[in-house]
Amino acid sequence: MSDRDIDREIQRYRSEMARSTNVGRADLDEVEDHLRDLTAELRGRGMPAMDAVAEAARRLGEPTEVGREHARVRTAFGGALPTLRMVPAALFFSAALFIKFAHDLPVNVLAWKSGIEVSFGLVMVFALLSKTPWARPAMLGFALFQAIDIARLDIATPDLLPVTKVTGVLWFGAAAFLAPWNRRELAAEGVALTLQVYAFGMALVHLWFFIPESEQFTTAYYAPLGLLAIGACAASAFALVHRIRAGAIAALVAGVALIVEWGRQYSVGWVSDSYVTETLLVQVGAGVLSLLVAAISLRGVRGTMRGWGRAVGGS
Amino acid sequence: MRHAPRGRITKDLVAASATPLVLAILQKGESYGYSLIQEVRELSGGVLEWSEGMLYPVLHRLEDEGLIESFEARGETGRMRKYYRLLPDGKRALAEERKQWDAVHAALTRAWRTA
Repeated sequence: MSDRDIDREIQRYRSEMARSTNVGRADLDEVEDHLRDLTAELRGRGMPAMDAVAEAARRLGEPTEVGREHARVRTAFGGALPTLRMVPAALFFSAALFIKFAHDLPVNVLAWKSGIEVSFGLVMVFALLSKTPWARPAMLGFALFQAIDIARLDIATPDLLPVTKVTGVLWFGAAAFLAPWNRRELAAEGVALTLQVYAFGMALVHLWFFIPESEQFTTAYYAPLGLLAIGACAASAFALVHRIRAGAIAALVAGVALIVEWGRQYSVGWVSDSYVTETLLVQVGAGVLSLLVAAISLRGVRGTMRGWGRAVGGS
Repeated sequence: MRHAPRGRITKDLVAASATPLVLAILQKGESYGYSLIQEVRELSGGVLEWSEGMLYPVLHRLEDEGLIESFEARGETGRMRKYYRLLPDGKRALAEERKQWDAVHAALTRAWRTA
């Protein structure tokens, strides 16, 4: 009987607890700590290692039941949004979607693109109202992206249409109601999903090339790496929703692809001088966020911040 | 529903007493899950046996309700550990719980006497 066998048993308990429910990593860590402490105590009293683990697991309770009880209190993505904030969030969000679609409809080329965005948006609103755990962080990322992108356009182009400005305000409104009002409202997984949806939006803005003559989007041809980045962002968001840990690899790929692609575009002269800061902020920013998502997926928010803080502090 | 073995407290009572017990223990000072459970066991002389994993949802609910707060600190083993401490709202909630349990206890005591 080795410590490895004990580890295996503890991991088995942990994964069973997480299997059918949405338990956050920090909460799983806490239960795992308990299991380890109890096992150590029982062994200290002379119980054989394997019996000690089994007894510790028995005292903690059936893992699926413990997991269910946890999920009843809070999910992996954080607490549920109170109704008083859910309703205005859904209203602001839907209004912004509606105006966006009505406004883009006459412009043929944008119609199908915004059709896709609006469909996604409506699915999220529906998910939020039916209290699906991932809806809140996904919508927050989406609303923040739309709001910040409009703010960006507002700075870059002086003659932004009033209707666009109104939508921008609506997006900010939605984001304000969806955002965590205290630090525990969004768990690490929730923060990761918010950032990944945001990065996905920003990647789309800068890497979805439209060639007017051909009336086609030709990202695959002009920037295959960009297409990879968009796909990897989407894959990572999907993995976060479904709690697939390997999604961290997709986030990593997305981050690297976004940053490298910007470097490539800059070196071949695609980035005109007046757009350097803007594209740096948007595209490289999205890349950095994706890397942050990968780190959070592996270590949680606080662990990541501490690690990066140490790296910056050099200690 | 599973009945508790003789001499043990039933599941419903354990669930009901969880909140005041946790709050009362935390009033004495900050603590973490594993140590809280041990304290409950000592306080009850072993008759209040929790399914230990169920303590955490209780802690997280109290945390979400703003009665307690958690923070990370290095435990005596050197590992980072999640500790909990009582907040002012938790103190008030504990006082209220205490009033109610005292009332129940008083009513039961009178009932036993006349039974």
